[in-house]
Amino acid sequence: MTLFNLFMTILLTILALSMALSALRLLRGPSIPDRALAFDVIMVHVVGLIALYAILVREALLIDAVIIVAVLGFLGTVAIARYVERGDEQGRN
Amino acid sequence: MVFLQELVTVLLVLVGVSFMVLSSIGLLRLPDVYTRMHAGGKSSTLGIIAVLLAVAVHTGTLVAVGKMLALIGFFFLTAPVAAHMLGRAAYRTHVPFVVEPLQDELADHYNSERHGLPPSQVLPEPEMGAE
Repeated sequence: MTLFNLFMTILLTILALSMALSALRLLRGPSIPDRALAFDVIMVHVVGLIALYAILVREALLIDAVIIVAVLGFLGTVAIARYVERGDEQGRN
Repeated sequence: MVFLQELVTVLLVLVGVSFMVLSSIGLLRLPDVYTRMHAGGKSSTLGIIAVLLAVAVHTGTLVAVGKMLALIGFFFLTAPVAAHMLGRAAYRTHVPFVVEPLQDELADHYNSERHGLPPSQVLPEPEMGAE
């Protein structure tokens, strides 16, 4: 293992631990926007993890997976936010 | 040349991972959904931009660099939109403030009848009583 691979593996591990911290907020968060925000941050972390893995294994095909995960994260966050607002309007009246 | 490329890659990834760890710690430690939105919306965006630049530097092909630049533009466009929609959803569903806002300019507008919130649902927020 070269020094470059060692550094990238260490940084990949740190990023995975950071994603675990965000998952803790996803489990704890008292309101639904808290959880949606944690979901958004987790999807950004997934993008970073796939990008680092693409660097580590030198696989250019994973870049397309990065794009797909980024779009899915944004759409998921927007869908949750829309759901929270409209659920408030229709549910309480 | 390869050494320089790998050095720049490691430094960019180090910056990006540092900002993303800070974002995650802020998401866990800050007291409020409105303050957590600072950590989740800005810091993670800056971190992921540095990581994507590292991918662009490391692969070096024109197609990969173009995709990474497009993805950076995508994150610049969508991260504020997502944070704004989450903040609006939190405000309209009356997630309570822990850190009191200095001014609440929407207090007179969003608690009216045309947004469908009956007066019994309005929380007794101190900034409303001040106005």
